[in-house]
Amino acid sequence: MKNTTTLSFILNSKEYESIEVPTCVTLGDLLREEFGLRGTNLSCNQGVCGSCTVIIDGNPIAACHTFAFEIDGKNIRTIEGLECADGSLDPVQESFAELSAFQCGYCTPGMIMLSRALLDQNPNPSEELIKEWISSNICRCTGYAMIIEAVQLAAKKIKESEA
Amino acid sequence: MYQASNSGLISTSSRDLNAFKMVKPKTIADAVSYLNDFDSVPVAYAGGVDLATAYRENKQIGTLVWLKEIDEISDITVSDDNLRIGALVTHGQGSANEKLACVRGLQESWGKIANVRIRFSATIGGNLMALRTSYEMPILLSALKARINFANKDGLFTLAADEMSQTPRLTGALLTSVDIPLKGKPQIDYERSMRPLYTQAAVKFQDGDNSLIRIAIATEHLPPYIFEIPERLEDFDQIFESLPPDYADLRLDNNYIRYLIPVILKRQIKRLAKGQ
Amino acid sequence: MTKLETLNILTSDTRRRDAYDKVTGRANYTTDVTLPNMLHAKVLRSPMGHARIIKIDSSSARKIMGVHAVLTREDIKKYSESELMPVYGYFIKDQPIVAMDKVLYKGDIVAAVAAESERIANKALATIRVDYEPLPAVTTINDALASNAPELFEEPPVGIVPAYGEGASGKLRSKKNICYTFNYETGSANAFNKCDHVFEDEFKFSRMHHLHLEPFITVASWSDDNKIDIWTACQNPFPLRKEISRIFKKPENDISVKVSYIGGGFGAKNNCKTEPIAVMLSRIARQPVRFCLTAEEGFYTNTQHAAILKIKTGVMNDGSLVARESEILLDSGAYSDGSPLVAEKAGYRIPGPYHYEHLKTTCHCVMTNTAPAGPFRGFGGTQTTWACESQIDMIAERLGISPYQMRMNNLLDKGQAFVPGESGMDSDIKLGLDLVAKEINYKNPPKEPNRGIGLSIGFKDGGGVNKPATARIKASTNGDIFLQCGTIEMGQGAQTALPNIVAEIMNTPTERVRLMPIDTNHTPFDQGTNASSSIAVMGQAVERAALDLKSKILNFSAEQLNCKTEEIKLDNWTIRKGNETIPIIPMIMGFYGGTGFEFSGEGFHKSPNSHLAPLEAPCVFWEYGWGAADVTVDIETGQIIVNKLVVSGDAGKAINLNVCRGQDEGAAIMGLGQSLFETMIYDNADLINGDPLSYRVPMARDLPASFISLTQEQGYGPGPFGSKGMGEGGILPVASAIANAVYNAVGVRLTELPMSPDRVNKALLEKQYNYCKQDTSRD
Ligand SMILES: Cc1cc2nc3c(=O)[nH]c(=O)nc-3n(C[C@H](O)[C@H](O)[C@H](O)COP(=O)(O)OP(=O)(O)OC[C@H]3O[C@@H](n4cnc5c(N)ncnc54)[C@H](O)[C@@H]3O)c2cc1C
Repeated sequence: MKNTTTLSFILNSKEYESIEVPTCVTLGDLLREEFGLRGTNLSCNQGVCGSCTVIIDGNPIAACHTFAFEIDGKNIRTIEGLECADGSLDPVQESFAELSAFQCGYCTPGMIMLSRALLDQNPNPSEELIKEWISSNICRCTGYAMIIEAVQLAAKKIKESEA
Repeated sequence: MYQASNSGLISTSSRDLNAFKMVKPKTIADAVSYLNDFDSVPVAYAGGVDLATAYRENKQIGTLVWLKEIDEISDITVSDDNLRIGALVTHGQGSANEKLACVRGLQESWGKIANVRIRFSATIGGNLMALRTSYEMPILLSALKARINFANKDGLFTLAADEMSQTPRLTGALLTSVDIPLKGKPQIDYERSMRPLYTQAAVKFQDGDNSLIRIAIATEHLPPYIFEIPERLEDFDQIFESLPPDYADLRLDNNYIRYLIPVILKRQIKRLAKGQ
Repeated sequence: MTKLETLNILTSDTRRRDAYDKVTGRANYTTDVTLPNMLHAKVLRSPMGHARIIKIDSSSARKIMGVHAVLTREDIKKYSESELMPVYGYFIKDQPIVAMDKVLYKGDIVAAVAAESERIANKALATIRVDYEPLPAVTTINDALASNAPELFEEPPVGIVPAYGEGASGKLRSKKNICYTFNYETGSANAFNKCDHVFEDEFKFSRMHHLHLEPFITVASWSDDNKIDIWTACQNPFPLRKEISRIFKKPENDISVKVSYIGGGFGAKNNCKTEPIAVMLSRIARQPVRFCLTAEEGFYTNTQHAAILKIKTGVMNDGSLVARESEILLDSGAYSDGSPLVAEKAGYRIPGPYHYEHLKTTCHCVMTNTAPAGPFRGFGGTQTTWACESQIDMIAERLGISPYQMRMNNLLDKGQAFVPGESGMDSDIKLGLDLVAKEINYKNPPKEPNRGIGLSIGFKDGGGVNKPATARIKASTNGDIFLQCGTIEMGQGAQTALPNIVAEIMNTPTERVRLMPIDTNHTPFDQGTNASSSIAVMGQAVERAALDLKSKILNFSAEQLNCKTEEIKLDNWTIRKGNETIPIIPMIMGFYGGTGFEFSGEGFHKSPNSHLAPLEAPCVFWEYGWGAADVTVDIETGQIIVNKLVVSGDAGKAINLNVCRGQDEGAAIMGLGQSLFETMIYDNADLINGDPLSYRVPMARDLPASFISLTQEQGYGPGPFGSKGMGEGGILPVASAIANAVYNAVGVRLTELPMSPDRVNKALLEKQYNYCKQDTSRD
């Protein structure tokens, strides 16, 4: 019995089929090492800090505690997949940049993916709900207030762009 | 980190896993047979959240038994006298499910656990089977007099939530579901604002005109300890004198815990009364 | 220094320069470095707090396929002293690359392996046999100082005591298990005699781990021609290069240290951490080696200093401070690391920003069998502010003066020297106090039961001691500007602020200025990115380099235009002469030829040395963190609820307001965690919460209902345009402001961190007990 699996999935809007991966490879390592998607930063490697948060079928999940085989048939978005084709930034990225809602930047891609998932699921989040979601990930630099403001701004930007 | 014999501490992670075999049983019976093929070093895999911590203690996987295709253990069902939660129900699904309304306060209590991101992956079964004192489902479920259902190669068996940590029967067993008895119309209140220092769950059961309060207390390092008292009891402080004197950890001394139980309980009784 | 009358660039540009890299995931960290044939290193760590190593057998590890290098003390011993000096440290060279005779804490490194994967390296490590002879471990300050305590270092390690100025002195190994002692004294002890009261109080300070999200990581390559390339997450690449050169006996121009973005440091990433092992393994394997620690290993690598602080303060009836003596004991862990430097600062900062006639302070670095402690945001100032600002309130209470008034009466005025020989205060401290007092409603406090407010003023010297910095700037023919300096971007916004300074001086859009990647081979010298020095120290070097460059361009243009330099101005790479605009490019091409030219400027900054200053050079700038807290105490459980937290720093002049705000807020929330729950917990030699899940750091949900940061721009800083450093002030006042608020709320004084519910409860019960006792004795 071979210890690899064959996967099909959508990664950042691109379809992949019959990708063969050893069973023991985590999604974090797959993204970084095989796809060169180095924006997904690995830190604690046990699901605690959330730096490696990606969006799987709409939900924010840490790539470190997820095996690559778990994405079979799923749709994955990473920080690299947020930018529009023309290179313009997603409103969440734009808001984090505009309000300087980051410092060292290590948690930032994870925070942005977490925020994007929140806004996809709840376009009008209350401050309480934003706090609750953002409490999933660790940011050791900012003290969070500026991140919460950036998510609020992003919600506004998304609404404006849809109006 | 784990301690390698004769040498010292080594910091492992998922990168230390060898490529493993993977099986995807669709029935409880198949899962049980895989889990009992001990030569293949089987590991049940639900949300995988706790396993990420386990690899750091050098846990190895020979065969990964992927549980998520077993439909029988994924549902929540309610009958007249029982709420059954399948092992694969995640914290997120569980706490959002309206069926839980039959136990007042359960959605809210369960919804406080972990964080939004983890709640999408972490399951109730994994939380229990991880057997860690720092995890909270054993506290909630012990207070609720829950029964935990298992299947192993000899058939089905059931344990009380507070018996789990003391039994050797879990090897090769599949946790299938959790039963919360609805007799006595249980209502739960969970106080975890002091976590990780201390948490306390209180469940009120109606018994005719009387009601009974069942309390589960726990610290990060100690398994739940259970008390049961009649709600009407005026002066219940001395009951907690029965807390064993060694129920204490590095952060909380026994005296403070004893002092704290009734302080929190009084608030919980008030909140439970309001809930009615 | 030229002050500019109007600032054009700074005020118009608010976005951080690293924003694009960081919000798109393009930012490169050392974790992203990979090299062909790169090996992965893992280490074996001591399972015991203190033990002698009897024997190490690593023969099986060496035979495993995929293993390319094994490092134990036996391998170290193969090198002569002229090839390898296998110990390192800041003032004291006491930390071995791998353990030699003894292990000194649980987690101490015993062996290392480089292999084709981390998995193979760990498998190899597990085959190593080590025989230990356990020795008694001392894991607290008091245990280490007990008369029967075992000595951690039987042989004195090599160490230095730096030159000190007036009143200050240092001593190595002043007592058993004390590796370094710093003393400072000024004025006569007789001052105590005239005091109406002398108060002695003792405070305990807890220990945090930095938990920077980017792990400790180094990629090292020792090439066949014996050149060493190091990619590393290090806050001070030049001192690191010096240390690597000393350890490996290599000329500094054979060693290149390269640093990209750092994913958080907070002090931990100074000097040797993962570097010596990575270099050593690469030397053996002759292949590049990546050595990345796990988060758990981080806890065993560097921590803050737990401390016991005893202060004796003499005051007059009216609350005037007269004299202070203090003894500080820092838990330095098993190796000295940055402890002696932290001791200097803790010892020096204990007076706070107040006037005294007499000061006598001592700070000891106590070695224990726990993880090595080192620099941590606040650098001794967090410890001293906790004690000092708590005691100010305690004294005020004893004398019946308001804590606000007590501070106002004693604060140093702007310009007043901290101590004789020192520089003067460079903020109006009273102004800052008024600001936070107003924000917390000091005059009209909330009148609910068990609710109270507290104030505090965090204080530290900033900019480092005797800290030189150099910068180089060049401008291409087209006016594209290259800024080279050794300041690392680790979140503090240097990559935004420093180019902005250049842009402002060159009067050109900031996009035209690029901060170049750091490589010690061509980056000009800098002592390190620490001590909140990016703006106040490096900023001055950059400013001078920009002015140098500008004057060269203006002189050249004036010559070409046959006019005086004073008649022309630089404007977006053109020359303005009256109403005329003259392009520069044709002038350059005309004079230097069609291939063009580059102008370059150099800048240097260091505080002048002075033996009159206790630390040999007057402080560059003073960093204050004003804080105020509004809390409610749950008197039944002992939980503290912070209703409102206010912090304020003085940026002097904010080069970027968002960056300043972020520094204050991030630091304040670190302080909030330490105040209420975040702490490393040792059970004798065992760290019981040394992993990110059980070690609890503040999350968004821990924010107080109201959290306010106020960036002041008082304008008196020594940096460009009157700026000052901002990185640490915010952490300083939080714990004492909360403790003072708790006292104000419920009348109990907490002297130990964190202020966990059980401690508050105990204090409340004691107060009740004493009250009852008083009551009965009155009957
Ligand atoms: C950041 C973070 C915060 C957290 N906070 C909390 C918190 O506040 N409170 C709390 O209680 N917990 C908390 N947790 C822990 C989390 O709830 C558990 O890790 C999770 O519930 C485990 O479920 P899982 O499905 O991921 O288990 P898995 O990792 O898949 O499995 C865990 C263990 O159980 C076994 N197993 C799983 N399912 C079965 C089954 N049906 N039958 C037999 N064996 C099985 C597995 O083999 C494994 O040994 C937190 C975790 C993280 C990472």
